[in-house]
Amino acid sequence: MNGIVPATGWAGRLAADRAARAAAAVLCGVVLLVAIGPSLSPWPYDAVDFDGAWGAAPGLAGGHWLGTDEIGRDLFARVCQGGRISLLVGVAATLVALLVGVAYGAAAGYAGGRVDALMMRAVDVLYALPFMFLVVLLTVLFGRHLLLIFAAIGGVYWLDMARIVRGQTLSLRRREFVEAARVAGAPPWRIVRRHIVPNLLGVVVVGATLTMPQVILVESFLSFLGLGVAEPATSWGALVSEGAHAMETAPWSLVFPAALLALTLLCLNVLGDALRDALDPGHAHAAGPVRPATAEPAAGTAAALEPAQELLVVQGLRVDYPRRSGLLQAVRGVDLRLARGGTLGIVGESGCGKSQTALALLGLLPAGARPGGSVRLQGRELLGGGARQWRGVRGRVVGLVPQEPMTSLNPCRTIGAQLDEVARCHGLGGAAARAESLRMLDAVRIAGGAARLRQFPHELSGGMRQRVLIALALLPRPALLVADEPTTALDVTVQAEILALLGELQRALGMALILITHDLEIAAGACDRVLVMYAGRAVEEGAAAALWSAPRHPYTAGLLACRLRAEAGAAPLPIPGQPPDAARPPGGCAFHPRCARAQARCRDAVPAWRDGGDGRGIACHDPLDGCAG
Amino acid sequence: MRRSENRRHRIRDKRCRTGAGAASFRPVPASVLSLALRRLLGAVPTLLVLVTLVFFLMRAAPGGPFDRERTLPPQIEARLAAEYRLDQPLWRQYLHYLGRLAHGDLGPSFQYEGFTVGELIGSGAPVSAELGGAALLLALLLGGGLGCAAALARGSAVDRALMLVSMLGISVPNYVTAPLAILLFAVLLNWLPAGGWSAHGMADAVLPVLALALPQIAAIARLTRASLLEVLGAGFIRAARAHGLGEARVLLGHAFKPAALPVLSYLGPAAAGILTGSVVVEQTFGIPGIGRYFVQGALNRDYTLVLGVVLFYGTLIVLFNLLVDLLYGWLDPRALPA
Repeated sequence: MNGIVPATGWAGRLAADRAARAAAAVLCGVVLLVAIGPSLSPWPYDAVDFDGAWGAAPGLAGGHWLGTDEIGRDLFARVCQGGRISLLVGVAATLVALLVGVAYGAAAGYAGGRVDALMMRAVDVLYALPFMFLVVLLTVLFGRHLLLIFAAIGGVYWLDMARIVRGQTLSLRRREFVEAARVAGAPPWRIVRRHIVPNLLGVVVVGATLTMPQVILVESFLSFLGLGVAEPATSWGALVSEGAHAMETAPWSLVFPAALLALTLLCLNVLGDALRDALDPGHAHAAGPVRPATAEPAAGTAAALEPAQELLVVQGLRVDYPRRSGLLQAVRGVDLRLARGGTLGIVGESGCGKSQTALALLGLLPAGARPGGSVRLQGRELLGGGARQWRGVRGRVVGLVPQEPMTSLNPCRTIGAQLDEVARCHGLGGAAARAESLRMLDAVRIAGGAARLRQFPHELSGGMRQRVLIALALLPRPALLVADEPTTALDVTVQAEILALLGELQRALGMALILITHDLEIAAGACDRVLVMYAGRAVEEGAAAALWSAPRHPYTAGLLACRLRAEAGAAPLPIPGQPPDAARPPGGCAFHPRCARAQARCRDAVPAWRDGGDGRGIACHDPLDGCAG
Repeated sequence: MRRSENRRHRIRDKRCRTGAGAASFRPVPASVLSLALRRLLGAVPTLLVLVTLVFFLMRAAPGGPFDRERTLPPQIEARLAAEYRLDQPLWRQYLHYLGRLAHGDLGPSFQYEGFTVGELIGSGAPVSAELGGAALLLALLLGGGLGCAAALARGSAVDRALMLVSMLGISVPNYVTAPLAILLFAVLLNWLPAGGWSAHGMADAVLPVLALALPQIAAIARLTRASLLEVLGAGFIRAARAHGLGEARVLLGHAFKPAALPVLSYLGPAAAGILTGSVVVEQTFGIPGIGRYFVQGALNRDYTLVLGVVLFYGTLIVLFNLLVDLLYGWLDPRALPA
């Protein structure tokens, strides 16, 4: 959980959450009721109305709005008075837990090393104790002092706080501003107070909101057992307990306090959850319900007959994500063509939409995505198809080598089980499946055969895992393999091996390959053709050699310059500026804020895609060699 | 949930021994036994702290086991004190208790004359175990099922309704649901008995088990939903789909097992919650388990009985956590020690 977030934004997100708003309103109402209720009621909470003894039913007559309890005390006044005690205990005990927990956790996290290990070991030992029983014991043995109840309950919940705060502090103390303060010679207590505690505010607030309902629960639990506050004082737990005894004669004396207690706890929990989501957007669920992916009618005309050798034709591919803040456009109209056995590299910085394009080809876009345009594979339109159609495509026709070899294998199953499963799913029987798994393992150059099949993914290196993933993708012999940054997570030496293996298998099996990478050199080295993407659009496409030797788009030239500098031994110089925000791409040519050649029309008009006539295409108002100016 | 993080710290990064068997069957390696042994030894300090704390707390409290409205003659009081060693210095009593404990003897009860604490716990434990076991099983099955349903129907009305109800389930404690359930189903509708344990057969168990399980059903449903959603977003699920596996195979073969791991880790806290809740539920429904001994024993200053019950609960929680660790090692090959 990342509790360190800028203050801007979370308040807005919280205010936008309808459940949180409702919960906050109800809580305010409860607090108000509890605060002014006793003075509204004509009856004090501890006065006995002998006319109402044995329980008067709720009603306006007699002034007992919620009725009376068994001995004739006004229930409304008692519920309000009980709420005062319950909420007071909740706030006070939470504060105790907070103060102790934050101090302990920050000290352990700041000290680090052995002191930290020792302090956390002590927390572990305490954690394993059945604490509820100790709290009960304490109150049984030492009587019903409100202060003791605060201390006992606070003493249970500080452990949680200490853990959370310690984790955050550990990560904070490695931050630059803390290091800087230390170098400047600030004393530790001051660093903790000035730099660490303010940054812990987020987690602490969330922790407090979620601790409070638990604390109120414990207090009511004690009161229920008859161990809470002493008569005639009362709390919600005590009222529920009394109500439970009287429920046959006066059911309202159970229902009202129980309902108010439940409502308060529910609202606190809802508010705490919302607060956590607001402070930690990564934790939050996707906004709003997820619509099933639907495709718009194909843009352009796909009516023209495709030549037999054409494997994949993508036209006007779009991938949109509807968000509360507006439409997020990950891919904004991409055209692709790939012949059988052909190879295409898709190059671009992270966030340019290249992976989204790849996933759209397999129907594997995340929930909430809305693809549009047309994807025709072997003459068949794929977008808009159902689960059954995609199952026929995935593996059999299009295979995927994913980006992350470390997380793309199931950690709980052996390599063999995973390979066999894919083989069986594509029609092979038990023994044949195992034989095929072994053959594929051999094909991707993993030595050790059958023994390897019994290993779990965590027993293999990153390069080995990527080989296994290649084997998995190639086992059903797809016509097209999509490799989504297959080497990004690997060491440089392993990268070369994996790329060589991919190229070799591609030629041997005669399949087409789409290689997605951020490295122009890798794409140009491994593929016949290269497509460069920027901000969800294609900006340049052409034969790999031509693009490499004479880039026309300033962005392609930037990527190339960056590569060449690295080869010359200098530090690679990135293209100045940041990749654009997919939610708010710049108008006109999306590259213009970073382009040295930008002119007025680059800001105003999106450059149209132009065919260079020499097998190259480009979308730029002012290309480098001026061929299409 | 809070324990799981800690447990993973301890057992993370340990390599699994490559078993020689097939994938579906791996022999229990000796390392599992040594893990169990180590964890049991590691629990000794915790239990020792617990016994010491409770022992001295009880003694620090005002009053004693033989305080009655009517004061006893001094000779009789002295004889009783000598019989129960209350005339000895506190530290000798403490060491004596520990010595007996080492032999598995929990001592005689102060309150229930002629009974040892062991006998009392032995008589109540089967009932409490039936109640708690049934509640835990129900919580797992129903909570897990509902959580999966909510995750698979993510964002739908079903999901939102289930999550709201489960939030309510977490928020409303046993001691509110138990009497409300009696009021509704026993008093008003007269469908089920309001209390007792074996008089009406299975019907007796319905309300207490439900009341005890409800908060855990809710907690497990929320946890399962979050866990399954996280796994469904994982790279290997996308990869499995990309290899052409059907949705049923992806769920059964790849998603459920990893998604069950956090739920498994929650079993320790869930068991602790059910133990605590059983004190209330046993009292509300008049069930003859050991929950009632705890509060009654503390009120009567029955030193040995309270110590015995707390120790019993503490040991149960330790054992439960050990069981969870072992199951974890079996389900997640990364967690097995070398």
